[in-house]
Amino acid sequence: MAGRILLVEDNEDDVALTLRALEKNRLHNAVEIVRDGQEALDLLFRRGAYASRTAADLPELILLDLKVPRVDGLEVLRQIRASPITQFLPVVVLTSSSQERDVVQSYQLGANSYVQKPVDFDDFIEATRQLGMYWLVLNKLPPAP
Amino acid sequence: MSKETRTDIDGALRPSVLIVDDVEANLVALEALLESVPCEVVRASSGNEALRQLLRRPYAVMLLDVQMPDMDGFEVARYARENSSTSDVPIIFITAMHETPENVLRGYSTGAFDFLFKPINSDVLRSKVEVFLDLHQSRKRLKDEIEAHRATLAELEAFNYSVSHDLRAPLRPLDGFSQALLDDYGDRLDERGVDYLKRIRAAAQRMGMLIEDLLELSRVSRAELHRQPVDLSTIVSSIVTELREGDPAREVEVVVAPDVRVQGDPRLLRIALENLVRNAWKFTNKRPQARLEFGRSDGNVPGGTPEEPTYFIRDNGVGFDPTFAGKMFQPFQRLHKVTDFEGTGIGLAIVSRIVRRHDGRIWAESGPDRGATFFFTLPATARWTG
Repeated sequence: MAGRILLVEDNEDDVALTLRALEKNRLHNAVEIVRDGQEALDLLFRRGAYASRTAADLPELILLDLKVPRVDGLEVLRQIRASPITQFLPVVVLTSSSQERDVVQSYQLGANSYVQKPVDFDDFIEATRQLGMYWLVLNKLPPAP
Repeated sequence: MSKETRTDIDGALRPSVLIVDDVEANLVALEALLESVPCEVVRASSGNEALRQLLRRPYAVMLLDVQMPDMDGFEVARYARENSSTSDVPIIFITAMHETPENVLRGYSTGAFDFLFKPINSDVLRSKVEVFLDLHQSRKRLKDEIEAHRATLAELEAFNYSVSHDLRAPLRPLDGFSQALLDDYGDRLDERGVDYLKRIRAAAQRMGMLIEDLLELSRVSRAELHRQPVDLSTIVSSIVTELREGDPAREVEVVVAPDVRVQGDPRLLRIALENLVRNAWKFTNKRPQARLEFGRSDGNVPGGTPEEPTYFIRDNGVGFDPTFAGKMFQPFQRLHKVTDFEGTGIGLAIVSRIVRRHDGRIWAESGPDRGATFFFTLPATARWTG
């Protein structure tokens, strides 16, 4: 099932927590999860197991962890921005890293936001609420190509 | 001329000495005189050749004949000084003139030099060369040591960073799932069960704060220092405004001396002041009439000197036992119970490191229930604005 939010995350704890935070904000039905960068790219570019997808199945928001297997998050981001099909998709880097290099590189590659996952779960719920509100409700995208 | 590079018994490269003279016989004589000196002698028969040789390897010293056709010794020296990679090679000028040409020497602001007068006394030559060989060796040793220390430091900082980073990841599920249990199954737990879960959360969050502060400590240690004019008064005022907004119920009298300006890194100084002001705010929270003061005092400060301006942040809070005044600038040192005042014990270590990176000093004064005053100096200020 295609979702409005694509979560790219391999850590099962983080998957469960992110789903819970989205659930608290009534956004959980709309989430699709992939566990590595290659799968994320396959889904977005309708390859392999996702060949039968249509452009209408594209997510409206991507939550991207940087440290994912096979293809890392920054490379996923680069490819998203390089393709006319996905270049305008909002990508929020959601990661545990606060390393300056990661932040700078993410923005250089065209990330829309960079959110460091907080330890305090209440803060995480609040961050998820704001992300969903901003990117799924308020933000206006250019018409699909 | 280019012999195999000889090495000492321990395998270390022998330092090189460059001898420059347009007369072949003089080069032969010089080399013979240096036979007993543990060094590698390289010859050059013109100024141009000498300059080319200098670029090839580091020399402990260059013996330079002053009277040469085309380019004389002083000219060679001038060219060598102009190139950053050869500018600090020590030079011994060899000359028949028995006066030191003052006008020539004035130009050489960098690097050591000396004179040898013809006819050359072999003992004087050897001892002068040996002085420069020693200098070269100890310089090299120092440089190697600094390099090794720098590498170790960088490694430690990187290690600190990644450890702190990886340590934080497991805290998220610890806190998150405890909260999930409280939310979804809280009604099936008795009071004690709920209390235990709350303790787990509190501990996870506390460790999260500790790691955050450690990362901050590591960041302020590694950050490059960008010195520029900074208005400390404005920074303190904006921190106070933030604190008031976050804690509107508190009534604190704040006195900020205007126009306290220094030269320093604005970002780092802000972090330092934030820690100091927050501390003052925190440790006065049991005072009905809390007071906080920031200012500059010139001289007359215990621990200060009249020459350097001393900045201070004073509060009338609980203070601390002066016995531990020196200890509290080390990480993880806390002088109060966590239950009385929350905190990680890293804040003052961060402040101290920032002040030290500005070549300053920091110290504190207090007694139990007598309030606390933190003094610091930023001596770069005097030097930079002087």
